Amino acid sequence: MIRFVIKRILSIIPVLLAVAIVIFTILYLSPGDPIKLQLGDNYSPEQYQEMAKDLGLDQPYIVQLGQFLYRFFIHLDFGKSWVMKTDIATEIFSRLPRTFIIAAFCCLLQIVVAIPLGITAATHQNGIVDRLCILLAMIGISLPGFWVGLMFILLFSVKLNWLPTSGIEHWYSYIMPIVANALMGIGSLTRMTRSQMLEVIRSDYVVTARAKGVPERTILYGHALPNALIPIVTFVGTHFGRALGGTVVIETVFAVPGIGYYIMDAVRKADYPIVRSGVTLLSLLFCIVILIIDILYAFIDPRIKAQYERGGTRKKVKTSGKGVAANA
Amino acid sequence: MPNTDAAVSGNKNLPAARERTWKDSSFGSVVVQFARNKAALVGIILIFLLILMAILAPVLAPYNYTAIDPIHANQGPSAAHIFGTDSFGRDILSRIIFGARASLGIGIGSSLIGVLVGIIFGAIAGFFGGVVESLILRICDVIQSIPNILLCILISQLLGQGLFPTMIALAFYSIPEVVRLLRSSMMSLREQEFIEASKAINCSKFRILTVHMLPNSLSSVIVSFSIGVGMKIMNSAGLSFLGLGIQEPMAEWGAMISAGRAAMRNAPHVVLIPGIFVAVVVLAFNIVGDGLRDSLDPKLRR
Amino acid sequence: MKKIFALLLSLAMVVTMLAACGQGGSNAPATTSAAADTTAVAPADDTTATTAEQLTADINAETVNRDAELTVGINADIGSFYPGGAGSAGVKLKRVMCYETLFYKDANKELHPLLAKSYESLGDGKYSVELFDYITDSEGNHMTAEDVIFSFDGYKEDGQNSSTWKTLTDYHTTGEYTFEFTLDPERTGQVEDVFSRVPIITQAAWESSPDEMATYPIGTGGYTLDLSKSTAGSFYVFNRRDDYWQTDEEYICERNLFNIKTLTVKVIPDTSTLAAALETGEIDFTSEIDSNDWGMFLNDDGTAKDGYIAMESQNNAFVHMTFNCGENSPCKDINLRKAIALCIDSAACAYNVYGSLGRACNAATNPYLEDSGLEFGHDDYFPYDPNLTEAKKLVEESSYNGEELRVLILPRNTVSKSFPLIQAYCLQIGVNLVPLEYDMATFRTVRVEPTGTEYEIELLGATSADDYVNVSVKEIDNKAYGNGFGRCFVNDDKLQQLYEATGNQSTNSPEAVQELLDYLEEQCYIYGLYYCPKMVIGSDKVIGGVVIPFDDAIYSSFVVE
Repeated sequence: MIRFVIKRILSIIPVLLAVAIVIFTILYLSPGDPIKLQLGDNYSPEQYQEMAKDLGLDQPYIVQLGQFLYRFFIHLDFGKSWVMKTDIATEIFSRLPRTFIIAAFCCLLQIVVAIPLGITAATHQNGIVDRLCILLAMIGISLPGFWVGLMFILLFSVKLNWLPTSGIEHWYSYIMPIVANALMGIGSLTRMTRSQMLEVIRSDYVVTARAKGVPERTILYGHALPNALIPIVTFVGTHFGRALGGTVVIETVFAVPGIGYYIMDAVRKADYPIVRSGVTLLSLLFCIVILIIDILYAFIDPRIKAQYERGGTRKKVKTSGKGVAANA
Repeated sequence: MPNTDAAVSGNKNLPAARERTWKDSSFGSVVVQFARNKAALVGIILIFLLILMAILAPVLAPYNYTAIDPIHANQGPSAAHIFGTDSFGRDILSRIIFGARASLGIGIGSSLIGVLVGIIFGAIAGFFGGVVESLILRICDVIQSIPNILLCILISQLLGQGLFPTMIALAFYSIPEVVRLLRSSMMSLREQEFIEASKAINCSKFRILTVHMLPNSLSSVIVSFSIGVGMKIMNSAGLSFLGLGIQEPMAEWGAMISAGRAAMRNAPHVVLIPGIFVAVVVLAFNIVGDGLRDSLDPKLRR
Repeated sequence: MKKIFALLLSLAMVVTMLAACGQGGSNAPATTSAAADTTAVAPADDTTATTAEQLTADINAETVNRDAELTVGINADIGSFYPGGAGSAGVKLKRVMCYETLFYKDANKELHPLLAKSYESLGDGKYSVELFDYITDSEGNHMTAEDVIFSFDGYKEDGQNSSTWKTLTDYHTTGEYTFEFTLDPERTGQVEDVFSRVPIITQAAWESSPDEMATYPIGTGGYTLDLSKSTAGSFYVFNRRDDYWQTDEEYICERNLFNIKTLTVKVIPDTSTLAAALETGEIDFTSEIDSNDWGMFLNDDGTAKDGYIAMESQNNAFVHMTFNCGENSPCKDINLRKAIALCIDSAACAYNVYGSLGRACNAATNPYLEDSGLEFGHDDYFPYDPNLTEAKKLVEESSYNGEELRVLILPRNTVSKSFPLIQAYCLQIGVNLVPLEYDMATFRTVRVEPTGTEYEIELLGATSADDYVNVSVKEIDNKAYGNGFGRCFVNDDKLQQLYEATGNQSTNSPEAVQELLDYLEEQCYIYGLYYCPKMVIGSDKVIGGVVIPFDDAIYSSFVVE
């Protein structure tokens, strides 16, 4: 078990390295010239050279890549922003908590709303409730985030004056971004719960339990739900991991100074160090989240646990749905 | 056909063997099951109608979708313009009809690219296993660990704006998902008896892969494809909002929503109408995807 | 299974193909004939006077509320508090709040002493300046002439605002509080630039800052940043400092009259949210409301609705086209250029982008520039009023053969929004325009491509605070881009001559400017489209205040009831 965990932790490193190299290369190949963007229109060749040297851009690709990787991984130095000369690490770590709050509460909201909805839909399959749940879920998926965001602002801030339009000054400023962001996820989580529950309800051991006369309630909450939960946990976990970087649109609409907006703005301003460090950090966080899920997975699912305890080559258990964790 | 069963078993009470029709083939039974799901039927009819609308756009659209008429900008629905006009005075109905091309094109096109690339790599990974599999999985890890929107932004930056770069940027993120799906199907199939049997009779690896394994692993991929289409159209709208992806004056529903957002307070129809169409398309594809999943899963068939 | 797959595949291919074909059509928009009538839509108002309300309260009055608080919204983050940097609203704010320049240039272009007590022009571009001898910054550092030299050195090195530094040579101190500098050759308006656009900081302050003042500004201005209340990237709080160094009443002008006690700045990147925030009162003032949202706060004639006030701030957001007249471009043919200029209805474009506040400028330069000699409403100055028949005739006479002309568009909404209209107008005379829409970084790179093969027409909106003609048309200077040709890729000695005549302070005169503009219009190298003043909009709890043309509002001078 411990061996598995260590192996998984170690396997994150090559992934991170690859991410860093890929991002660096994409930025390197992008057509815009960051120096020209900063210098504007009137500059002399000397000034261009000067800035190129300052930013380390006069070196060949491999050297630049090497410098970046060395500084980032060995020294954990995120560097300084090219445009604003601010220290990137401080900026990122002050913004990360805000995105984290939105992502975390978003997932929480989704769990609290979607799972009961999905269970209800599954147990009353093809009934009115089922159809209604699916419809609500579908509507959630179909509305673009920025549109929902603006609608919320118009309704709750401008018309009703209940909440501030934007910013993060008060704790209740976070309410609208969280709910707006959650809507889409509620939709897909409901459907996922529903289909997992359906699959489990029809499985052999549930049928057997029913045949034995076990009360329906016990079957549902004692047998079906725990088994259905496993892939759901994976789904929510990966969703959270992705949400850390995926809140760009919500952050823009609600003026939340989070990490998503920070990175996107940096792309626009060709401020590459921010993009490199930011995306690599987000990837790291994502991998950590996946790792935690995998470990949880191993603890919750007795079948998998047994496999690890047996040791030897691990056969992958077939699970349905997307976002399944990576293998060792 | 004579009552051969009775002749063989000697039992006169067995029912007559009926003709084997198309409904008994694997494809046929899927269709039958699918057809029983009314919602899915509605979905597929909707999709078909939308595709038809896209194909017949020049015939259906009342105005040229690029005809500018600044005097009559941002007007609500009226007799002359059933859906009203946008901020340039262009007829929204015509832009919706032509927009179907770009929107469906992006949704279906990018999903397809993702699925095709995913299938190739997933099949390779699942079939060969070992180092190849590990390498492909690691690459998938890398792609999946980069946040979706940021990856799209970066690739858009690299490739520029426009239809094809946007399709590629959107497709990228779904490739790992398909790879994983296919690989896990492959892995479970690998052990099954009919594959063992094929190997026993000296079937070539390639043939086993394409003829025997692929078709059976496609069900989850097809479902993922169908649901992915909706996601891609939504993501495309998000990209337009951020200033990347499809921009005006191209007619595409997502771009129309994000461009119309500015005038939303005075002329809400400019945003609402394309929004409704996007919602309908996403819904339709999702319902169809669900229906496909229900009908392709043998356990759910009754 | 296979069949479903095949069906889907073929369907998708068909649709994708159609999608691709469908977009080919978008390059050839048509206009309805109504477009030709749009001149009726252009604003009937032909005055140049500001259409905004006049603020009545005297900002200097004794009765001014000195404890007022104000919240201002901006569209993009201030980012770093380093005193240099190009001028977004946030940057202008930080300069007004925290830093000071040598002199303050007011709306009438008069210089008032700020850090400098007086200056003397010694002839030949040489100037001598005397500082106040009791200047201290917010950390208590004393400022001397050495600090001025230090600041100049710093800006010159970092390469920003480089047009200011190009000809600034030989600056040195001549005493503890006096220094001299030479401008050689002196560009028109350059000395005012040096005096009013360069924030001066003390060397001690710079060296004491661990990050080049990125997170905390240390300047001589009247406010300090309250770090404990500010959140980087979201909002900033500026408090008036009690120990502002200038205590002599005689030298307090609107620039250092700090009426507002606390200024909060909120960063709201989305324009719709910004407008909503102004509506709910979360912000009191902003100059960055998108023209689409003006209807919520302004009436059609530019006056503000109830509950709001609006001030007009002239700026150089003058949208114009420059033609690539190089060897490879069809636009080297003057008939084609004139034809394009004649067929575009700028008034319609202005109206489309800015509503009734937009103004057409069918001429070579921004009419609001002081030395442009142009005034709205004077027909003599609009040689390129739309004339379709003449345009068609000129196209025929030109050597244009239906080639595609690539238009490089500045990635700003107010510029790119007019492109479909322009495209439609040109199509009426058979000219085929194709847009090149890049992101800002790529745009900047492509436009200075020296070979001149990247585009045929450039659609720009200048935004720098240039308020003299020669500065705003600096792109035609053939020394500007190191390619020997200038923006128009044309080898025109007469143009260069006229440009340099206006450019040099000693030869600049209204006649010289007129000659340059006349020549530009004759040759049609640059064609001006439309312009709109920046509207600074806010709640009517503000009853007095100052807005500087080509700059922003001086929020610190605002009077709140």
